[in-house]
Amino acid sequence: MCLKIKNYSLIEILCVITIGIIIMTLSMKFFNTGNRLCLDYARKAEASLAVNTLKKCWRTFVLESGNPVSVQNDKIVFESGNYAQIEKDRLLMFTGNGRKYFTLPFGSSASFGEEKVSGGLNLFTFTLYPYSLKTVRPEHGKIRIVAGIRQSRMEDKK
Amino acid sequence: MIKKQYTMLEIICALALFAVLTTAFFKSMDTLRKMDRDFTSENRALMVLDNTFERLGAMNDYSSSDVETAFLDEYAKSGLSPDRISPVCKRHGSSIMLALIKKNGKPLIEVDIKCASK
Repeated sequence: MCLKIKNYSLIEILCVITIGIIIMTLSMKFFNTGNRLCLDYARKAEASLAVNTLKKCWRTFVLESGNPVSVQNDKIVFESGNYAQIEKDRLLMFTGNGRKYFTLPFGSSASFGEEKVSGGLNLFTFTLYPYSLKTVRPEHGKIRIVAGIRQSRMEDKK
Repeated sequence: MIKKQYTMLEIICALALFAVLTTAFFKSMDTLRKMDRDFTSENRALMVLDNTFERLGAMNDYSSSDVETAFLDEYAKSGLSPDRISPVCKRHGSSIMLALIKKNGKPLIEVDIKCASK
């Protein structure tokens, strides 16, 4: 059997290499985009579940605790001795019954706040900022959980 | 060994098929991203209403203007874009209707609240 070897020209080899590079780049891009999208969905689903649980616990906690002594970005202390604190990637709620820890959704950060609004209401907010590669907190994706206490009720407690 | 050579038509067909698949992939990614943005906005819009109810729950009684103020205040603080979801308040008699309208004009949620007549 006579094996005939065909010598490819330089232009043919260059074409093959170029097409190979294009296919490799695109397949890596497909993989990367798909992977990131799936991860994003998983993170959002996790955040959604966490928000649902946190919402109930935060409102019950504020209602039980009543009057605040100090409100900082990462800590809120109540006259009753209860306090809530953000520790790196988890939220601690301390009450007379014990401690509760909630792990914040992946990469999220959180902050506490106090707002006085019309109608004699004091609002205590827990704001969850989603995962972002940027150092500045992304305002567009934040989730705000409000717990309200009537001003007159707070004065009664005093 | 017989070496089959591809014709120009076959190569063009293969490239066209590759281009169609690539376009379809990026198009589906775009659709998924759009759905994701819509879902996130809707989730946050529901939180606006949830927070409004929490505020109303802390009041003993509330007038329709209290409800409207609380709803619009919560909407403003949520950071939602009016291009995606816009708030609507309609008073009729002693009750008020709160709605969050999607950009296609359809309501995401509508709630009727009975208020104390002030």
